[in-house]
Amino acid sequence: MSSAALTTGAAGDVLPGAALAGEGIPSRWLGRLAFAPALALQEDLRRRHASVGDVVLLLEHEPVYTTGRGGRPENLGRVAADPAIPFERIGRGGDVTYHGPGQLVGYALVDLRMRDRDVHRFLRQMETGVIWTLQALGVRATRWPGRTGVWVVDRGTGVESVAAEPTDVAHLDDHDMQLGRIRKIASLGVGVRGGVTMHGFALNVALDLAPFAAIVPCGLAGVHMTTVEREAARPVRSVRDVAMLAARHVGRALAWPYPHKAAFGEVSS
Amino acid sequence: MADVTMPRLSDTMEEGKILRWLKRAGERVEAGELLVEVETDKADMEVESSASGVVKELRLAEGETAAVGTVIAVIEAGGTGGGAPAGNGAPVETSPGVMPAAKAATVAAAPAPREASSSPKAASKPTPSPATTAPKAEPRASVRPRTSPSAPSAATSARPAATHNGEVKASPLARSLAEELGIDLATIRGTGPAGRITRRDVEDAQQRAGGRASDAATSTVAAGDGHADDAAARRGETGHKSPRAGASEPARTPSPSADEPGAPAADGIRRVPLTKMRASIAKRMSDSKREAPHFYLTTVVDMDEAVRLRAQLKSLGVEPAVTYNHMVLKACADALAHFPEINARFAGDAIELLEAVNLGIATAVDDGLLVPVLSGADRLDLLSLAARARALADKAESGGFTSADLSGATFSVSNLGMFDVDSFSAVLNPPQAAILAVGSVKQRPVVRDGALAVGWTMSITLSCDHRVIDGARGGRFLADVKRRLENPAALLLPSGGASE
Repeated sequence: MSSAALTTGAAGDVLPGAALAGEGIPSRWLGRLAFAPALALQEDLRRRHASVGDVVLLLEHEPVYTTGRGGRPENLGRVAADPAIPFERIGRGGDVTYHGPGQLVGYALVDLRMRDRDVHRFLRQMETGVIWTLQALGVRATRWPGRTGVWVVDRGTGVESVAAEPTDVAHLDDHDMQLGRIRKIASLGVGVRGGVTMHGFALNVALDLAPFAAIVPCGLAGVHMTTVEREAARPVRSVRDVAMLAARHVGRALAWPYPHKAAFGEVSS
Repeated sequence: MADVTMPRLSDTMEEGKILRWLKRAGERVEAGELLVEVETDKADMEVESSASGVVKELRLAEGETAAVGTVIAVIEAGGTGGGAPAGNGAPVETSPGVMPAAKAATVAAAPAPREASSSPKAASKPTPSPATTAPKAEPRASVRPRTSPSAPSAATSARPAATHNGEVKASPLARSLAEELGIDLATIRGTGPAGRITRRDVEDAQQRAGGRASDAATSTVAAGDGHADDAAARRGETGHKSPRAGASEPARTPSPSADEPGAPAADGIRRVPLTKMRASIAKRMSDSKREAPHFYLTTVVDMDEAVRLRAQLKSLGVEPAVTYNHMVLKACADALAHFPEINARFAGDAIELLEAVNLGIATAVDDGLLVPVLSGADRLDLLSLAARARALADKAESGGFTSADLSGATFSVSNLGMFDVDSFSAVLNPPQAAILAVGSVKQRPVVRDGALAVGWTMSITLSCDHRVIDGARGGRFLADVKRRLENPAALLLPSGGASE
């Protein structure tokens, strides 16, 4: 699985993995991959970005803890306790998190120079793409201003729409988070190197949340992590099926305002 | 000595955390080299230094957070070119790679035009119209501060290659050529690596400087009807005067009769015989107003995206430079391909729908107005269209039009935006059934979501021949042009290629 995903395909196909039908920025499905080869793949695509162009890599990781360069040691908890789960400190923003089977990881290699170099806007676009993906899965999700990531809220807290406008969760605070009234379903963390973004999002589809208990996820004490499996009204689909939805929705959300043909087909049809 | 401040990496960024210094105190850093890694929100960004010199002091430790604009490091200038220290103590923002236009503006704000004293006449020279659409025509001998904030890309374009410590990066060939031509390198924008000035930059600057005097004269003559911004812009770049002549020679009097032969004014009236061109304009415009019942439709286009796109293309150094008028032309071409009844003409007993989309571009020339034709415009993507439009503007300058260049238009565009005209109505150019009049792209008050805001807007007015076009059709067409301009990224694609 992993080595096959790393080989670049037949002549002319310079991208790894399998193309997924989508919109906007093209997406590739890499299957399940250990962390280190996936990072090498990102580095390669970043270096070759001028010829390869924007791309979103969708994959599942073997179990791994990662933290950003600025991640605080006190949040790492017992990451060293389980020798089966390696730990990596990497060049992205954000604090410690866990990746593993049952989680859809999306790495966006996107030219931020074409996007006013506005890295916050890029994060908001990525959140929007994840929210759209969740919407397609029947999960209502939202942003929570000031807490980058994608969140799910209990009914009865006044949140009745999946609109990307997060105004109706603005009244929630850490207390609501610790009580599990608002739960984190996807985490984000990106790095920008040479004007090109790396890393991206991790969407919990149907994974064992136990490894999160060993850490302070994202540095948010008391945060409840959740999964599509727990939140969706319908039976959950495979990570690959979710990747196919993400190829469409994240690809579309990240495409604006860069003129990818597919994304703007409707304008001058 | 240059202060390095916490950069703004996003419109919404208020503070940033120092993740890692990539240079230590005492190390040398060149402009464009990575200096620091900054975290904002959940993003970790490498940030480049925009100053060269020796890192004197790192004010913040790794892991510390500071508000945008806070001084985080101090760089002591010590350029390789032996340039004088900046001495103005102006803060230097670190730059995430290529400078965004807004940041470039702060760099450009320190002009040092040495010509101010060496060319006294320059001060009395009439200032050309603000070239919102022709930022390249930056006057070389200008003594006024740069005061045209209306086009964000103008700042980028005007960015001189001078670094903050006063040193100018230029190739040896460029230096000797500039010296020979008497051009101050500090006034030239470098297009080479890291803003280095190349020989071509100097040559371009020379040509720009040479063309300005004729610009001022032409503008006045041409005010009778529309002309494309390219004409003024290109004229500035293709003039044949030497820069010295251009800068110091008194501008021609803006009276249309100044250069004309004619009897002395005995009774206060001076008769100027019609040139062939003026006679032709007079006849055609009279015919048009007499025979074609005109009506006019106006709409305001939200240009925020177009401004952004143009700035993006500019910052990427895309050639040829794309103007707003090119975008208008492309939007019209795409729309016309879908509105055959607008791309039409009245033929006495029938309306003729025309398959080819050939755009007439009203263009000011020395003694009036020509309408060169960009044929097959619907099949061009924006950059090809821009290249063709520029070629036509060059020909307008050199007077090299053939009759083929001037015939066969099926629709025309007239742009007076560069003269700060907000909106106007154009006279139809028979036998065409419609013409679009384009006003200036400016920041104006707009209402968004029920609240007053500031946005870039542009007014466009469609003149229609009512024998061919009814109000509803004209309105639909105009709305389509507006929609295309408000979604300008699609203009980069050829019309047929959008759906792939």
